[in-house]
This record gives sequence, structure tokens and C-alpha cells, in this order.
Amino acid sequence: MGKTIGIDLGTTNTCVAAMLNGKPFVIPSSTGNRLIPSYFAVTNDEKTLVGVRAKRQSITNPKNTIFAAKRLIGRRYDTREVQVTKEKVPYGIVQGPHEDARVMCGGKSMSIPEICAYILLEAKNVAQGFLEDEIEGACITVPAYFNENQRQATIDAAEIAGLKVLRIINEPTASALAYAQKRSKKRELIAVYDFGGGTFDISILEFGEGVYEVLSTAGNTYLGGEDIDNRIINYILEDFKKTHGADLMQDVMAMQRLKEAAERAKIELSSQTEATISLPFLTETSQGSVHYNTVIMRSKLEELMSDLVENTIQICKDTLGSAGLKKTEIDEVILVGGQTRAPLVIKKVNEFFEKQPNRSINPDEVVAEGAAIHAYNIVSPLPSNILIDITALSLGIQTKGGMFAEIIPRNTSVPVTKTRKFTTTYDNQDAVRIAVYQGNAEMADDNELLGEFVLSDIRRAKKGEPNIEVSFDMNSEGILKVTAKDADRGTEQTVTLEAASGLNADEITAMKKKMTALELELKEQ
Amino acid sequence: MPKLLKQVSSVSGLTEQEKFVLSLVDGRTPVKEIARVTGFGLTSVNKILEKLSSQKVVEFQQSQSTEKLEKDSLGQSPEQKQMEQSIKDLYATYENADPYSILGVPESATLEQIKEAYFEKTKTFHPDSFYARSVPAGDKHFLVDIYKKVQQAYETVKNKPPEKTPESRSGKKPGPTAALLKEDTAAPRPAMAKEPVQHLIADQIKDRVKKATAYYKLGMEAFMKNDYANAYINLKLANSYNPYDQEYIHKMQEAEQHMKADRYEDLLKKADISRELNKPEDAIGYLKMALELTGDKKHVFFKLASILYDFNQSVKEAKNYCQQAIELDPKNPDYHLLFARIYKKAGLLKSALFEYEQTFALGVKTDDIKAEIKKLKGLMR
Repeated sequence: MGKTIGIDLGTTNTCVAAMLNGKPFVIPSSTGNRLIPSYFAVTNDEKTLVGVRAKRQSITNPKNTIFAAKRLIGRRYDTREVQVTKEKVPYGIVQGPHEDARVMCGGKSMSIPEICAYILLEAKNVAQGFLEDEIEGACITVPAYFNENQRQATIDAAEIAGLKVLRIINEPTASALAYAQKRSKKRELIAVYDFGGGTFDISILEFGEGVYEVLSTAGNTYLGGEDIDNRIINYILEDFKKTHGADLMQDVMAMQRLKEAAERAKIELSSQTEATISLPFLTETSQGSVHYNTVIMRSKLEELMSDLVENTIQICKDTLGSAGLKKTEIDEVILVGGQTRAPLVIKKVNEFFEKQPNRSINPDEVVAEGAAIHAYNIVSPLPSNILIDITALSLGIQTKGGMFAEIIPRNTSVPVTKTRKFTTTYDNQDAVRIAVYQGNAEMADDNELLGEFVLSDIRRAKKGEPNIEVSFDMNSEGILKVTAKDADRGTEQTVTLEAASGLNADEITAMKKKMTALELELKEQ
Repeated sequence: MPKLLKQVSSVSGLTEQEKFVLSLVDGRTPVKEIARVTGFGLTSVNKILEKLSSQKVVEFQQSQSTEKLEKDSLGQSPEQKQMEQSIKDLYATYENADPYSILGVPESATLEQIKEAYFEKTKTFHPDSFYARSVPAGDKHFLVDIYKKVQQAYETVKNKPPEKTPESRSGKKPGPTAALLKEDTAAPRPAMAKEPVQHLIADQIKDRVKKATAYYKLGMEAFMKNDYANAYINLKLANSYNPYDQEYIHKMQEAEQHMKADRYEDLLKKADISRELNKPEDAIGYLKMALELTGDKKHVFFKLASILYDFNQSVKEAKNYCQQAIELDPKNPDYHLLFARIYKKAGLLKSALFEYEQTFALGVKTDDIKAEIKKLKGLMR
């Protein structure tokens, strides 16, 4: 039997872990790095680079270096998020054949799952090399707020990389699993505050003996450490305009250097009160080369980021409310994600929960460790712990007036089957359109459309008379099956919704072949 | 019935009869069925239950033994067909039951007890719990459906604390659990006959005892072959099917100890091999795991210290481990010699000299040691 691994496929970094002798262990690459930068690049001579090597050349090759692909995975091109990301990144984003967002790299458009597959493959190879064993399967983590399409795209990425997905689990849940290894009490309520590079999540879990139940989860997919970096960048841009009268926005290479410098300064300010940013030859103006030097104080950074942190605290408040819990009932607050190293974050969390948050676990590695624990647990014949996970987003259909009618509400434990009755909106209507949406907004259109189908041949009657039963069945792998039925006639229509990852089966197979060929090539080298 | 009785050995203060009745109380079995299985007769079974409930034993037993029965049905039985049958039957018992009997708790249960029962059921029926087990694909779906029922029941019950809405449940058909609790004090009701479960119970109990015996046999076979890991697993299964036989428990514990000892030996061996292969990190990992098992700790400490020393790893850690080894066995010259070398490496010459002298005093009077002592004394001046 091969080994199982856990992979934290992050916005900025990817981390892979496995169980070694009963304990989770983060696997270092052959160069000793415990984190693989989530970077992919194609060089001028058409070589593909992944991880550290891709990141290292990002300054000189910004247009063909893809990073933060997680922000685009499983998203349609015309969504707000894609458009916002497009503004921020130096590489090109284009519309793919299935309305999906794709990136331009090495003169070709590439799908996001394919990019992620390269990163996953790197993770797999690192694990395989270290464990000296085949990888039987992996548990991959995603933000709790990923919708079905994003999850499916992640599964596709793994498929392309030739990796069997045992389970997709939520990042905060994975962190809690890793923490669970170290806990001592019998029954505990845990809050996981996960502030990562791209997203913020808060989850409340209850730990019992042998069973971990996720009670509630909430978050913001557009709130992360990178937003704080952007605040710093904007601050510098303005400062630069004032002092040198030039706009750096147009200079791709300067922006890339600025981005790195901003992130470095932010990290430095977690342990020091001031950070120096020094960027010689940053740009060229009519007066010649411009060197940029400045000092940023921690207080300045905290001023720039304070509303973002406040935002996370508000989400914590709402989550506790929806779980019907008081903050004093929480036994332990766990901090996860690199951004929780910031003193301001620690201070605010401490103030809100009225207790010192637990920082005993490494925020960069804990998610991968948890995933490794879960992967190991699933394949063992007598799992030591069972995880009851929930859906973070409501599932439902569109009804009259474009309203969203929930069928499986958010924070429902899976697997689950739920049925709700609907009826027709006008007389003698003989068909209804069942449009399945996912999200927490009131209007259907503000949520993610997962798919639609038509139930026809309904008994003709006055409006409001027919009984149409729509039932949603979600299994523990998160696959949704929707059945619509005319209860009077027994006409039935069942659809297993295939989440739209932006790729079809043929494309995946083709990419997988390409990837396998590439792998063989690499092995021969 | 005497055959069944024989399987129940003596534990705590209960009589054989009481224990046997108790072993059948699972929140699902009607009193009548217990009477039939035990052959004690309805009146005496009722009396026993009355007594047990007054001692609060009945309620306590409920969720526990329900679990046993269900584990029973989806345990790793080699006879797949038989298992298939029992999973389907099991589903039938859940299909139309009310929330309280699905969870196996009385209607008076507190939120805490309800949650406890829910977690217990989760361990048995959650899809992850049988992902890797050889359950036929067709049957997984029954198990998932049972789990959905459990979840539904939990959702219904948890939001209904008993004192707030007693009237909302009074109209409901009382489930087996509720019925059983009433039976504790009242005569059996004729409605019992309608319960869908009863014809299964006797078979399940027979099956359970049979399985326990079979696993015990397997376990003892492995035990004889010194395959303690297998012995332990089988004996544990035997114990879970029949927790009343002390012999199972004794043998299980014995196997566990042997298993740990084997593992300890194995870890030390692996550590030695890793060391020879120049993989000190692996060796350290193995040794640290060995530390967690009961065994010869001082020996492990010593090995750890020597690896850390030999491979130029953290001197501080090496010192720590060596010190712990010496604390456990202050009279071993090898430990002192290593300690002396570690001190020397750390540049603490005075302590190193002291340890060399200790080694010498403990009987290692080789020329090397003498030379070291002399050299160090020279350096000290």
C-alpha cells in the first residue's frame, strides 16, 4: 500500500505533509524548503518552472509568471473577482472556451486547473522523493468558502497531476485536526481564526472523543494578507508620486519589485517596529534612474490595515451569533495563516475572545498537517477520529422574482438529503426551470449558478396547485444530486450536477497525458 | 438458553441473571424479547429491570450496548453475505423509528447525553468510518442512509429540550426506547408486537456471541504465534462483541503489552539501521517514539545522546538526554564516558574532567581515559 499525503494548496505557498509513525510531518523539498511557492512560469526558452525556481525569476519575467492562481480557480471570466484580480496582476487573464478564466503564459492560454496541477505535481514529487514510496492518495484543502465549482476545479487539478483525491477538506477544519493531536481535554469548543494570504475564515468546532464536529463557519474570500500588501503598495505609490512625480503603475517590473518589498516589509514589521524599503533603480524617468528609499513604522502599517482586521472581528462576532454561542464558551482560539503573525491581529483577537490565542502551532504548516492526518485517517480501516463537516454555503434554487430559495442551508452537516416543495407560478404551466445556485445571498443571481435543468410534463392546473418536490442530496465528497419530481404525476428528473470547473473530461485527459509525458521526461533528465 | 448464559462471566456485584438481562438492554430490544431470549420469563425480567433502573444502571447501559449491536452488524465479518443481510435489516430498524430511538436515548435525555449518543452513532455510520472497510458497495448506501437518519434525528432532538415542549412529542408513537423505559415500572404493553426489530434481536445476540468466540480463537492463535499486533486486534474485537468475559480483557491487555514491547524492539532496530545509513534524523525520530512506549528508557536516552553527539547535532539536547540516562542509572560508566565527551565538545572542561574521573572510578581504567584525564588536568592549569 502506498502512502497518503495532505496538501495545503495555498494562494502564495503550498505545503505538503504526511503521517510518519503516527505523527504529521511536513515534507521538505530536496533543497530543504518546507513551503513550495505557488508559482508557475514559462521561460523565454519555453522551459516550465514551478515553485521556488518560478518565483525566483518572477521579477525578470513578470508576464509569464503565474501566481495567486487560487484566486482564479473555478471562476468564470466575467465575475467580479476575476476582473479585480486582472487589475492587480502583471500576467494576462483571458476568457476560456467554457467561459472560464484562463491565464496567458508563454504565449498560450492555460487553464487554471492545469497551472495548479503543476504545483500539485511538484508537491507530489517532493513527497514521493522523501517517502520513497508511491502516493496512494491525497487530502487537499480549500478555503471553507470555496463553492462547488472551485472544489471541482481543485479536484480536476489533482486529476491532471495524477493524484487521487481522497477528500477535499476545509482549511480551518484541517487546522483544527492538527491542533486536536495536541489537545488534552475531553470535550472542547474551538475557534479557528484563519487569516491567510488570500482569504479569511473563522470556524467553530466541537471536539468530542473520537468525533470532531464543525458547528459553524464563515469568512471572506476577498480578504487576506495580500490585501494588506496592496495597502502598503498603494501607500508607496502615492508617496512616490509626491516625491518623484511619477506613476509607477505602468512599470510592470517596478510593480513586481514593489510587491515583493511590500510583503517583506510587512513580515519584518511583525517582529520589528520599523522596516526599511530600499529599491535602487526602481524606475526610469526623464531625469534618469530613480532610487526609492523609505522607512515604514509599525504604527503606520497598523493604521493601513486596521479596518481589515476589524472586518475579521466582525465576522467572528456574526459566526458566534449564528452558532448560538457566547465568546466565553470558546475553550481555545487557534491562529492559522501567515497573517496572524501580525501583532495587531493577535491583539485584536485577544481582545475579542478575551483570551490569549493559541499560537503553539506553526500557522504556515498546520493546514497541511491536518490534511495529512485526515488522509491517513480515512484510509485506515478503523479511523481514530471521525470528522463531521458542514457546507459553508447555502444550496438552493431560483424562485419567482429571482429570489433564492434555500434547500440545504449553510452550516448543515454532510452527507445530507433535503426536500422542499415548490409549485407553478401561472395557470396551466407544464414545465419549470430548476436553476441550482450556491451562496449566502438573498437574490439567486448574486450567488454562484451551479447548473440548471427543466422538469417538464407537469400536470396542468391552476397556478399554485401542482406539487413539485425538489430534493438535494449531497454526499460526503460534496457531490450534489438534484431531483425534481411532480408529486401528483410521479414525473421525475434527476440530475447529478457536475460542477463547472472550466474543463471537460476530454481536456482533463489530454492535460493528464501531457503531464505524465512531462514527468517521464523529467525523470530521464 | 443455557448456552448463552455460559458466555457471561462474573463481573461486579450483579447476579448472572441481572448481567444477562443487562447485556440485552440496548434501547431497542423490547422487554418481551429479552424475556424470550433469556428464558427468564416476563415477570422476573421486569423485576430485574426495575431494580437496575433504580440503581441507574439501565439508562447508563443504553447507548453503549446499542453501539455494540450495530458495530456487530458492520464489523469485518468474513461472511459478506451475512453482513449484507444485517446492514439491510439494520436500516429497516432505523427507517421508521422516531428520533429518540434512532439515537438510542430516552426522551428525558439532556442535551449532553443526546450529543454523546450522536457522536457514538457518527463513529459507526459516518461514511469516513467505513471508507476503507470491505463493505459491499450496495451496502454503503444503506449505511449512509442510516447516518442521514441519525443526523436528522439529532437535528430534531437537539433543538427540543425535554422540559420545554413535552406536548409536542406526546402525540408521537413511542419508539422502542421510550417503551422500554416505561416497561421498567409498568407491565409490558401488547403494542410491543408491532416493533419491527424484535425478530432480529435474538439472532443478533447469538451472532454476537458467536463472533466474539471466533475472534477470541483467532486472537489466541495469533497470540501463540507471537503475532501480538494481530492478537490484540482480534481480542479487542472479541471484547467489543462480548465485554463481559474477563478472560478476553486479560488476554487483550497481555497482547497489548507484548505488542508494545515488540514495537519498542522494532523501533530500536530501525534506529540502529538508520544510524548506520547515516540518517541521524530518522534514528532520532524512531528513538523518540520508543521513548513513548514503556520500556528501557535509560537505554533510549543514551542512544539519543550518542547519536546527537556522533552526528554533531545539538550539544544541548545531547547533554539533556545523557543527563536523563545518568539519572536513571548513575552507575553505568558508558553513560558517564559519553557525558564527558559531550562536555568536552561543549568546551566545559571542568565538567568533562569530572565525568572522566567518574568513568574511571566506575571501573573503566583504560589508558585512553587515563590520558584524557591527564590531558584535561594539564589544560586546567
